[in-house]
Amino acid sequence: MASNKLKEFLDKHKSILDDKPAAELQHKKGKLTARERLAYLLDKDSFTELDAFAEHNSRDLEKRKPGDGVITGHGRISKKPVYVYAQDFSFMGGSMGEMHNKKIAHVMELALKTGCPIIGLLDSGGARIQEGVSALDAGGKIFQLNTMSSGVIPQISAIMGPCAGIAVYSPALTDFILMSNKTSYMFITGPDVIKTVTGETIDFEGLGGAAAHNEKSGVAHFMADNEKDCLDIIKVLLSYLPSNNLESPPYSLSDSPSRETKKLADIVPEDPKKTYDIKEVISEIFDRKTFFEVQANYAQNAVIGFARLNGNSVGIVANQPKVLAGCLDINSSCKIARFVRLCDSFNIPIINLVDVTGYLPGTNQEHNGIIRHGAKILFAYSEASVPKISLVLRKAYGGAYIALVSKDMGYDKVIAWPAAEIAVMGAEQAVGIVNRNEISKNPKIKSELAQQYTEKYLNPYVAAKLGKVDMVIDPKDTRIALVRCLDMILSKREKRPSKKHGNMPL
Amino acid sequence: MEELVVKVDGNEYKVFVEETEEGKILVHCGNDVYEVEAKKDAASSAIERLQKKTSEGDGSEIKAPLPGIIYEVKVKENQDVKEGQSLFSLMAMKMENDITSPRACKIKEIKVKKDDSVNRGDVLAVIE
Repeated sequence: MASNKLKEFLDKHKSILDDKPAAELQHKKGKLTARERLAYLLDKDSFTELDAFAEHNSRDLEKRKPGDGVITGHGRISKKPVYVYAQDFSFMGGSMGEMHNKKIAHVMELALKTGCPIIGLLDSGGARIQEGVSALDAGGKIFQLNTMSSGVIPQISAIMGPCAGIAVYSPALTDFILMSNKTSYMFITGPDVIKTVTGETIDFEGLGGAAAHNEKSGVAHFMADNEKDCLDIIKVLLSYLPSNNLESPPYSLSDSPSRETKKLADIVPEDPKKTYDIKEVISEIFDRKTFFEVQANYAQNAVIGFARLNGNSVGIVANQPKVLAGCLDINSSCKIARFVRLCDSFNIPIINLVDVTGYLPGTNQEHNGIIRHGAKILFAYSEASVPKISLVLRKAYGGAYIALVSKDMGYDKVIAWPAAEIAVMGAEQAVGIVNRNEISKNPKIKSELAQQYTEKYLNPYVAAKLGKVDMVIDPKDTRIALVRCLDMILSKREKRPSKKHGNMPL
Repeated sequence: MEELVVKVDGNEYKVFVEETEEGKILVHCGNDVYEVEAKKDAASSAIERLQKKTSEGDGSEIKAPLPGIIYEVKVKENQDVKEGQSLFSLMAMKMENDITSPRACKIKEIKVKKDDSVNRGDVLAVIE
């Protein structure tokens, strides 16, 4: 008798694990099955499946399969426990029915309760229409859990196929979205609906492909070459993040803390009008080959990403003089602000590399709300209680100075290079306002006045005299100075008044 | 060059290592020098790949990315240019911003000259 029951179980289990039908369908499209993806992502033999026998209970639906189109459970990545779900496109297009959604919600609850990262591998046609409102409602549970988990555990969504309609909003609520190039799409309404409603013709790739969301919309954070690459990126990403907001990020030492950064003097031209690539500066300063850029293709005038400094995981925010003069505009403001809040949520210190004259002028920016979007940067930094260091390479003027450098706004350490220009604005503009009357009488004196202004104000010493700059350093000592400063402020504790939450400008 | 202590079969050796080129490492041990190839794990290649990625160049117009003044026109009409080659220098936000070619192409038409004031989105050149 017992052996019959065991046999029944083993047969059922075998059929659940049978990946052949899924493989036939997915491999033809150059894609992996949900099980193959989990196997590649997780440490060998570490996956434990949950709710494998769950099925939908809709009477109108003939088709059924244990698991209901999503594989959920837990496993380990580089030994760290994580919860995962992977949608199975081979069953009803991975559509999100009631039980399917409840399974996802179940692992999300467990992840939140135990303080483990949750990783979703999405590949779904969207809501399961036949199951109606009950399926929709279970989707609401997922959004609620995404929101409750935000800032508590890292949430990562990898889009590995279609992700359409309401299904896009769960990833949108998570910390990171990865998209596999040419095989993933995200959109609210597809090309057919757009064609009917607006007459616009566009294909899946152009509308919601990995390139569109990584370069244009800023919805996605990473663009992977293929599915395995996508899963590799998740592993790297987790190596910089703690498992939850109560832990410190992982530590891994690979470079000398006393290495001199001699190349910096060659990379950054002293002439403040000349541009350069800030990523070369980042590579030189931080632990070798640890810079891991986030949103590399979006709003490239700001560079954000993780790196290690003396083994510690840090978040970098840098102006990129090579693109749009590194200015702050609407898109880069949103990009920076969200990243700063992520770092703050997960106890990752923030280091700014500043070389920027300010916000981009123009009606386009003003009318699209640079005031409220730019305010996000101020809000995010002021709110962040993690260690914050600002390094001024060259220019730090006006509003950008306040946002990225100001000690009174909460930076713990401000370091400047000798070429730093910390001032309200550039020389020409300043004398144009201050000496307007004299110049209108005698335009020739403008350049002389500008020269005087430059000598008097465009340096780090005015700010240093006022205690607004802690250290002025030789660029070759940048790494050493940053390592020492970070060491001393890692233990920083800063209290905030208790409240439900602030009202961040959105 | 960095000093490391390595353990091989229970014996400790003091060695000096230096990376000569991408993935090639020279290990100095006593009077011997060994060339070692460093194997990359998937993770480190994912890091480097992200740094290199740039958007693909398409379209047939070079547009001003931000408002400013044309400081220098570096190419002529009918000239062949390489991907990433500097075409214009645009003085904006107090900087000389390089406007580069998104791909290898021929310059069909140049629409601006030195000292022209341009707005964001203005066409600077048409490319083939």
